[in-house]
Amino acid sequence: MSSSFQDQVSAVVTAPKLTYRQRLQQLALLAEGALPYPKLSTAADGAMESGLVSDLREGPAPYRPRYLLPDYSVALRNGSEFLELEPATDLEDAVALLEILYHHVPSITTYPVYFGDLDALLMPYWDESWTPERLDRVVTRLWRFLDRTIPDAFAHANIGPIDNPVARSVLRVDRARAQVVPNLTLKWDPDTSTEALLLAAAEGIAAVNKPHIANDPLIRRDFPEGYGVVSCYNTLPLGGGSHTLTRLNLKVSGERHHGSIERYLDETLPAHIELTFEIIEARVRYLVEEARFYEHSFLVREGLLHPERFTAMFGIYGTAELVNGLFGDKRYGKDAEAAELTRRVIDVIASRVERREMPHCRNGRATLHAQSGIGEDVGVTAGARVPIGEDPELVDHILTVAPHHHRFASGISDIFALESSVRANPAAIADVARGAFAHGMREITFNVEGCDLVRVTGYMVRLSDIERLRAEGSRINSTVLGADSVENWGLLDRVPRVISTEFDPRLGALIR
Amino acid sequence: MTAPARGAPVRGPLLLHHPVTIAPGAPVLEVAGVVRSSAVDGPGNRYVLFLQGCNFDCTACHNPTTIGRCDACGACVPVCPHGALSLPEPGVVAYDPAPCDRCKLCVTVCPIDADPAIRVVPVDVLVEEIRPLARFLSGVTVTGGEPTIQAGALAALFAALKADAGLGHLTTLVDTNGTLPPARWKPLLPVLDGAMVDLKAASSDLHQRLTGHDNVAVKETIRFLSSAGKLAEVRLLVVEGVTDTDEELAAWAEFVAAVDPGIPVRLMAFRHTGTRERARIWPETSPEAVDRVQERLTALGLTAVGSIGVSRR
Repeated sequence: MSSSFQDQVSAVVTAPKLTYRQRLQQLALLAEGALPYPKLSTAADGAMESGLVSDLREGPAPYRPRYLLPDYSVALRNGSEFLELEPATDLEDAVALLEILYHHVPSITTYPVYFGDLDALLMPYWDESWTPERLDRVVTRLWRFLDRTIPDAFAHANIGPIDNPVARSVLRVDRARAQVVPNLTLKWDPDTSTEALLLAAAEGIAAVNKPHIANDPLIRRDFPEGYGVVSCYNTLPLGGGSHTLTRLNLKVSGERHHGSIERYLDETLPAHIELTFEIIEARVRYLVEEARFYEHSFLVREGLLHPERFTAMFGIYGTAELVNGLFGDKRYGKDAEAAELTRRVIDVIASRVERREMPHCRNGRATLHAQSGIGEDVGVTAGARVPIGEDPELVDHILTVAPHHHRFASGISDIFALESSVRANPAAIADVARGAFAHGMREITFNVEGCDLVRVTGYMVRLSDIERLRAEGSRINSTVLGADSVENWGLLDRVPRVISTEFDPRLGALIR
Repeated sequence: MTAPARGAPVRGPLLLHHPVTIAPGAPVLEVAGVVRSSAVDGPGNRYVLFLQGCNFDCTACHNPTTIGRCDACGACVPVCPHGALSLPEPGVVAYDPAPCDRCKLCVTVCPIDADPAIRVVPVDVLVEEIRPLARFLSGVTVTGGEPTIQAGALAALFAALKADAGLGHLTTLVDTNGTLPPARWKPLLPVLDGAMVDLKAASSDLHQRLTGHDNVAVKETIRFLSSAGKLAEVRLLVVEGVTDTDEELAAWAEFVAAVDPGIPVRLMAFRHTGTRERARIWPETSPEAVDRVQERLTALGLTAVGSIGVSRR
């Protein structure tokens, strides 16, 4: 044991601001970190070393998948032999059973990232005798349970697209409680969702910046077996998930390139994509073949998870810096030439991800993901977003990013800042979401000025918690990440999007 | 109207930025500005068009440069540092958008608070301007200035929107000071979904002081539009100590309730932004004052539906 390792362990064990559970997690990270990384080529090693490719600190010896999306309905219907549970008998029983199941679902955060499509899970147990008030009491207790036992806002509940009493109750309770956990997504389908459901979601956004909204028909095309939205806007197969998320830093990729744009697309970028594939494959093989998670999980044995529905996420970020850097004088978000180059870059990556065989993955392929960033990213823009502070006007912004969305099967996100005036007019939020989906957006998220609960990358933090964090520590793990992001990214400096430009004195200057 | 000024400079790919050709006889609007996405000009997300020119001269006006209509005195032409203004013939100030950098020096020297940089835009150009935004919008709101001064071309714009397959879902609203006589409202009504009318004061004296005109026509318009089913809301600009006295609120409520107590009433907080020096004698309206007026009008039997311009921390 090196003394530095002992020092690190000691620092964790004696960290007064960490809870017991947080110390335990840190100790596990340290222990895993003491193991060697799966064997990589020298070039791939160098890519990790230099920050060209990153495994988001998943650790050198993956022993559970990064994201798991169990099909909880199987256990509600059949009970669980492993957990010695009978099938659910009524709605409250079903909720109690879910609470037990969540305890047994790991992920990269150690906590579950997916609580299921709660309305689809619970509606089979609902009948006319359930008044909204009674339902709200049950959902409120579930919400309290989730927030207090799973302190991590990557954990995500889904509802929709069909309007139903449970979905409505979830929106009411979520808005009233304004909790960091659970994160929430409404699946929306213009053909099957009601306008009233979208408006109810918009009212939630106006109050607590939740839910995130997903374009159900578009995502369902990629995952006919069903899907869930988890963590930072990841769209992943239901009953499966993702072994790993490894991301390619396109900003660094561009900095490594010397020569023409065409040569970048033909040679440099493909080489960097191949290095990323190599690292993904090494991690997948370790998880499946060495750690053998899928062979000993009761979730697999009892049919909540299917190994063949796990993919691997090929993440990219820093697209804007790459494109701006290659041009020098054209900016992504402003110039048509930059938008076209972005499309070509994404096309090169997406077509290679679609072609490249990846072992142990759903359909034998990884899936492309626009990675929405972590707190330590400085000067690199998330996924394929427009850099913060350079956002075009709202509709132009949406029309800039929407054409890329269909290429990112495992998720892409953009956060649009709205002025606080929309809080009195949530229908405006619904209008913008509807328009965005009509133009091909896969998912959409808003941060409304003036809410205490704000979105960072994809998860929620309370601004008031960040204030308290340094003084007292936080009960919620992701608040620590949020504090980094707010400071490192100037997150709150994002230009509030001009859904209303009330009180700008330059009226006469509007038209030239 | 006295709605607060709004609008960052338009940055999108606007047809309005480019010179347009106007066919002889085509309906045109004198446009002072546009906001392509607004949450404060009616229900949902709306495209807002600001028309130039107003027949009131309200002390509290938040958009004073939309009041005057350029009379081509030419005072601004030598002031423009970019050569964007010229006097090609007597009685015409020509504006070239290309060199203009929106410094607005021209407006500051204008003796009648007009803006020479407004655009005369054909209705069909505006329709094409709105088209790519249509799926993001609940509708179009036209304000100003006083939009009904250009009622003919306005009706042409709304009719074009209503007749278009891709734009027919858009609701059409105007923000108005209510001075247009009923006979001139009539041609607008078939293509207008609703009017938001400012009733700045119920007592004629106060109205005279605030706007320079009495309120007889405004009251008549409110009655007329209500009976025609086209009154979307009545708005009250709350200026503390001026329009929120017990006596004034009682008279205001009495008038509106007599027309229809179900008329949606919206309160506007007075703000300094955009106003002229002479408006600054009044304080900006506090959230508490707006709440107080809202409670008072509700107690007097009105249907208060919210407020605009209140800054709450």
